[in-house]
Amino acid sequence: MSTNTSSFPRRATVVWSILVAVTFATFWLGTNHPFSNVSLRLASALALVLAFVKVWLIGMDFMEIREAPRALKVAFGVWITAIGGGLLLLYAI
Amino acid sequence: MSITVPEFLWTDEEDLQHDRPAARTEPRSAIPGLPAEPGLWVFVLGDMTIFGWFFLVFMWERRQDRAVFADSVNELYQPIGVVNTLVLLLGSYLVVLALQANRLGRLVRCKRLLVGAAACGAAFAGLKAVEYSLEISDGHTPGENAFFLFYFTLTGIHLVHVLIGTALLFGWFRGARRGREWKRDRVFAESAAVYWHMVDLLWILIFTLIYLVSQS
Repeated sequence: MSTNTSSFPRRATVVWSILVAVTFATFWLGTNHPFSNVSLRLASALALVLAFVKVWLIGMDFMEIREAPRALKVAFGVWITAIGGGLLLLYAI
Repeated sequence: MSITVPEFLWTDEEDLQHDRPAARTEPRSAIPGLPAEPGLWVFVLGDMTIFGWFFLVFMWERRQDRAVFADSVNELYQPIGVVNTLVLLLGSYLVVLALQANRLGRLVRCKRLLVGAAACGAAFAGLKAVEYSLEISDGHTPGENAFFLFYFTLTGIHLVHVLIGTALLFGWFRGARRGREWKRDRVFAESAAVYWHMVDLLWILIFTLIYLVSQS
């Protein structure tokens, strides 16, 4: 059975495992971690970046934008850059 | 058509006679590689952009009154939020598998996975109801301050999206039950899947922004 006809899309399974792992990492970063006092702001900024990495993975591999026409990839990329970049900027300044 | 008890959930029924080749390689839409149809993507990206504006305004408002936001976020139930994140991620994964099964013509498997994904949607809504009632019994309302106004508005609009997404999964399920040709059901199934993933994606950002980032 080739990968094309497999019932378990391997890539999506790997991506899902990463998403779950990053969710725990983000929760840990956002709540109580050893550097809470010194770097809460840095941790929050990192949590924000990780959230957009997750969004990108969901778009690319679950919504299948990876194999979609270039225009959709660009539109999705612009959305991530504008909203993610805007949020980070507003958070940092 | 009456809604029968979903026997397929526990019977040994398997997809033996449905062994069609992967439909992925067949013409999927007028535009190769594009799930669903262009109009769906206009809607999805538009919806995401409206949410995106909300997020930016939220972050802007937070800058105006950091202390209120930091105090208010401590009144949220973060563990419920993180469990709900995992619930939606599981739902998304099940939808990925369901779409794959549907494309392969394995309809029994597809239906089982869709029931699982819809259960995730119901679990999310149930946990949200618990969370809202806890907040309200703690005396927090949208009128309390800007943070709680955003909290109730953003999570409320998102919850409506979860319910719509769950309804779409049921529509897809009915299509799979009829067992028509994939090319007739493709647009609806792929649209429901993309919408469902959008709901997941938006929740990840809402959770990070409201439950985590607001505290610093």
